[in-house]
Amino acid sequence: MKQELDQEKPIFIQIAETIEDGILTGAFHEEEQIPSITEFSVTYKINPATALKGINLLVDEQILFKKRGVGMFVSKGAVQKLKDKRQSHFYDSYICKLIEEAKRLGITSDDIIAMIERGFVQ
Amino acid sequence: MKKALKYQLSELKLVFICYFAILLFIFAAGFIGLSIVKINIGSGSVSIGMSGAFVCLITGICIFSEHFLMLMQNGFSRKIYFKSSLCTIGIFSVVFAVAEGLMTKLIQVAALSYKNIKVNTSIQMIFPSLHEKLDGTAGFLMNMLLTTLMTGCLFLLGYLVAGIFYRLPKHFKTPFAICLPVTLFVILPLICGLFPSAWNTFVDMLLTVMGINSNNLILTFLFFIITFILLSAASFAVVRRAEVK
Amino acid sequence: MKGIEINGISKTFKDTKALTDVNLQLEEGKIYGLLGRNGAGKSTLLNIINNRIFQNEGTVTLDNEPVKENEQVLSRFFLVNENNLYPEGMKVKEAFFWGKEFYPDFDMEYADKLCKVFELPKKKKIKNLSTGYQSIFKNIMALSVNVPYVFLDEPVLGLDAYHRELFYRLLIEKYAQNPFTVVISTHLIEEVTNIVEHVIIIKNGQIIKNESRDDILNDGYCVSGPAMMVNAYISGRETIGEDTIGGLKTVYLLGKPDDVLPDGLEISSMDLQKLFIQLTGV
Repeated sequence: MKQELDQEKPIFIQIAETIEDGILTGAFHEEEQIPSITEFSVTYKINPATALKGINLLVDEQILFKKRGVGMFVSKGAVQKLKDKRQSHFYDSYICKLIEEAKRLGITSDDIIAMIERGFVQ
Repeated sequence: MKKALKYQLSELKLVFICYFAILLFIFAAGFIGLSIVKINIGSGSVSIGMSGAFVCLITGICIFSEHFLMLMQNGFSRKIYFKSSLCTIGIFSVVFAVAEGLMTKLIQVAALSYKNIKVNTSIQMIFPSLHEKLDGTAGFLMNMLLTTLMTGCLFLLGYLVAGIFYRLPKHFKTPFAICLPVTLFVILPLICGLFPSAWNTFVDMLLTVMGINSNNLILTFLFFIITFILLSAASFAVVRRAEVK
Repeated sequence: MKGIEINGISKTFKDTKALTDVNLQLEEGKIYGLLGRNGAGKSTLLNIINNRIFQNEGTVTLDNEPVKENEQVLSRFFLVNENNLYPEGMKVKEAFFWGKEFYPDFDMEYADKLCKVFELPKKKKIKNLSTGYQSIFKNIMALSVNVPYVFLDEPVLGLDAYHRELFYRLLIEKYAQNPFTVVISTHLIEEVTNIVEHVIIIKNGQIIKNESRDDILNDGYCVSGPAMMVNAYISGRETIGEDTIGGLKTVYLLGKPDDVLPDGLEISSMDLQKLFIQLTGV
């Protein structure tokens, strides 16, 4: 889970991703409560409205749900939903950049495949 | 305005205490002094009137310099601050006048055994020829009223001077701070000494306006009431546009 | 309209025009960042809003009520700046006492708690505190008064990194529990970028930017790469600044970048501080 925020992506997206990471790594369990908006904003030193925006992103995607008067909870099945989402974005998020850099350095697709296979073995 | 008044009165607690301490000290010193020197020291007049004159001026200065900024920090308008200051001055003036009056009475009682010592109230000091007329209750009350007015004027004078000083641009402040005491303690006495006739004429005019030459009490009261009003108006004009930087 | 409305405010000091025709709205419950270089007019504006100095032109109203000399309105504001307006000889705990007297919602327990957290000795005279601790004292006052509009002019002046971080966390915590309007005027842009919701930039007494923080950040980007390629890219586009080192060039642009950049050029977002420097530079 990220401890620091950078200036590259909008903060609310980074907050959403931090929560997603937490869910995927098991830090937040399904049907359990996540830290409050106050806790998020104080920990990351951000405006609570921004934290709320990030959380609402996940509520819209049904990763989180709100219990009135209590707080935010991880939805049932959130882990699978996130895996599916990230898998479909995997190509755009990682592969494209990898290929861009490889082309810059003159690495062929065969080289890349060999490297990947090596990586999985280790 | 109540909150501002509460603040101002509470902050000036120390002044109250100091002033009463001074009065008590004068009383005690006078009493002890008289007891020790039990000889006939000839006739003389004493008065504790306006012993607090200096205290009044300084307190007036404090009311502006200390309270203005504090009340501005805490969301009061200048109008309310001024009203509250005026009330504070009014209350203090009355209290001082009452205190002096009572203390004078006490000293008079204590000095009864000293037939040649006359203890006068402030008003009796100003109008020595009316001394007998001003001995009774009416005289006592008039004394308090006059003392209240005079004390109030002194407070306001200090307040006004502090206010003017605050509003002066930086490069005028030091000259002003130097010129004022120099004028009062050097230039004025010089004029007094070098041009005695002009000075006497001026003093004479002043005493006439104040009703002292003619023993006209009404004129005296009027003089101080008008002075008080003028000083208030001037102070308000100064406070109204005072900026906090 | 709910909130503070600032209309056509101008202020001249002798022959310097400190503020020219400033128009702003400060809504309730939002955190604003008031940014500007030294002498830009931030403190002057805050002083005018809080009835400390008088404007030459224009009005300031709260919910359509004029603010000037109006204690009904002023009792809902609180300004702290580098001036210490507390009397000579007043101790911290006396200031708290009067805070409670003047502001009925003043939270004494919270103020005491903050004193412990910051290690501020309550028995000390305010004038005898170090610069940093005077700032801390004023910040504790500002956080404890519980008024709907709080103005902080350089609140972290003289504070070490530990205290600065502590202050921001406390501010956010307080705001999260009960939103109120905060206007922070500061030079430390990086530190407040994530805290503020709305950004106002003043340059030479005029407002040059008045947008939400997200909009401002979306509205700028940097392009870097070999100088020749960058120059080709920016022809026909308006830049607000550039940096060159050797053959590498970085340009700062307003607006949104194209979806696809020519190979060899890198795009990055422009942070608030960079944007500020480019916009307010000569």
